Amino acid sequence: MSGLGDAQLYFEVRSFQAREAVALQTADYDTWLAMMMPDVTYRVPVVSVGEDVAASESGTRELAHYDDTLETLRIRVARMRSRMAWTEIPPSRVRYFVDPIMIRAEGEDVFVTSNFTVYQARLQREENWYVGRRDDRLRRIGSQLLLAERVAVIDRAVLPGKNLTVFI
Amino acid sequence: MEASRIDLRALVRPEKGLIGKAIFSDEDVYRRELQQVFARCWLYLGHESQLAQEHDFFTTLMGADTVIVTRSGGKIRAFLNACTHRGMKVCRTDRGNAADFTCPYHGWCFSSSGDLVGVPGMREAYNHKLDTKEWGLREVAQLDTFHGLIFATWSADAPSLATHLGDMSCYLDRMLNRMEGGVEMIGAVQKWEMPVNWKLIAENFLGDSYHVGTTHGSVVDIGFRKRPKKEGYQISIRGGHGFGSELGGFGASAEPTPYEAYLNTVRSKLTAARNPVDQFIPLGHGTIFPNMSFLDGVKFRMIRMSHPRGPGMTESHTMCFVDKALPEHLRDEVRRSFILAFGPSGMFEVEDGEVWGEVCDGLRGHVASSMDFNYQMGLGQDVPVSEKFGGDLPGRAGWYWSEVNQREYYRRWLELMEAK
Repeated sequence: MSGLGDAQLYFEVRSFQAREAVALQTADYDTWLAMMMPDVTYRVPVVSVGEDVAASESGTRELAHYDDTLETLRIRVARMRSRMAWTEIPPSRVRYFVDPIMIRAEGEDVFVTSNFTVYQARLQREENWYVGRRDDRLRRIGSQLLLAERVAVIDRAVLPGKNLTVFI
Repeated sequence: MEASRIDLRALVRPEKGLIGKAIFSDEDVYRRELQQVFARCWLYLGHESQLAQEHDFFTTLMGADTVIVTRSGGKIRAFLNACTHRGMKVCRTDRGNAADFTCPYHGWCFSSSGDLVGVPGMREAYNHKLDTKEWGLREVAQLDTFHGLIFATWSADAPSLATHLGDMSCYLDRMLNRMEGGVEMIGAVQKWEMPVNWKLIAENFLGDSYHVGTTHGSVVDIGFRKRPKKEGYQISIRGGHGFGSELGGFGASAEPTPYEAYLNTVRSKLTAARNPVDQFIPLGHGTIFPNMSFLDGVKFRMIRMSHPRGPGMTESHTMCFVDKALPEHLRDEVRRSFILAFGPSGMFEVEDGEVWGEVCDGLRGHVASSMDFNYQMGLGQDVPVSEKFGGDLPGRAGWYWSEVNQREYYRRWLELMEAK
């Protein structure tokens, strides 16, 4: 069997990713947060340049760019909806390009590794490109998949731009 | 425009609370800063815990110069990261452990103590006439530490680190050494590059409590942070350092977190000592001249470097610190609180970047860059810290909203820029 699982599973994963992309591109955060398990963990580690590629991502007890739970993601979303959230006034234009490269089902879990490009255009000409890898664990609950765990690694060690305001 | 043609004294008038905007955008002023400020001042490199073992190293920046910091023979040393033959970087990783560094260009090899220990073709090409002692890595002129923080300077003439920190030492001590064992760094350094002049970042941390309610309105709006009390201080130290805060520490939430409770026990333990400086725990926001900023609040402590990469670009590095004595579960709470609030995605920090980036984008035009920024807040209102807070505490104190710190910072900046 290929690394992308069977056709049915592949289609389910792609559908999940498409729904997530639409939610994030349209700032529909209620839909996005509803795609998560209550105990979801969401982490974007710090990448440093070292001899050992495997050790280039910061560990779970170290600093990260995001290290969130559903509760803290909700706090971030609440902030973005404030009338004083200047980072989204006026709103950014954001695109998500996500490609699964490995899908593996194990019991109720589906492990998905994807490459991603997240593009953010801000104001007149500002652009941020985030390229990297997502390791997701999706949990099958009834007929749907929910995000249980995400580690998203942005490959650039020194992040571009004045801030990181998109979810990866 | 050449630096020599810019009359910096006409632009920088802290005594009037006026600073010409051109110093934040001009290429020649920037070149002069690299020479007069960054090649002469003591600069923060990192923390001792980043070099736990013999031959551990990390790379960072001193101004726009890249440097390698090593532990060699037990001693911490710092070198320009450039082969002395043709300038290739001899180290191209952020950290690691290495007894020597071999240049990828022609193969010159340097030990972790900076000595040139290998030259291909020493016999055939150099006739044994190359004096390897003369061609070791360029080392900083002085290196010293303060409670585990590593500082260095390229200037042999610079006064000692203790002199550079001056009256700031007694306050900085309360950030780094208030619990037995001092502080340690939580692993990993966040790095990102902002299209911002480095001084705008340094001066914000130095003395800008004024922006909190507006820039960070969203965080106050959702109740993540209590509305600032408007009771507090800005404290300016001779030499350009300074800090400020709401009384009792900034950043408190409506519901005190376990770490806030811990901080209260730290404070109550210290009360017995009746040291007037302890009323400034946690210190607040601050900057050690020229570009080492910090936050010491009720939820976390961090050090933030603003490394210049041209007049319009800054590479920010942030590191988070905890007391070594801090219980493990609180350590994780501090780490998470920090990531949520500061660093590139932090709910406070993102707004700072948004504002600074737009300030700097607006400096491209001639009209804009020929105007002044206003630093007149609290002009003439500052008093000796001892008068307001007792003891024999050094420095000048302004109210919670005051630009007293920035005025001293730019006075010092001008002094260095004009120095022979």
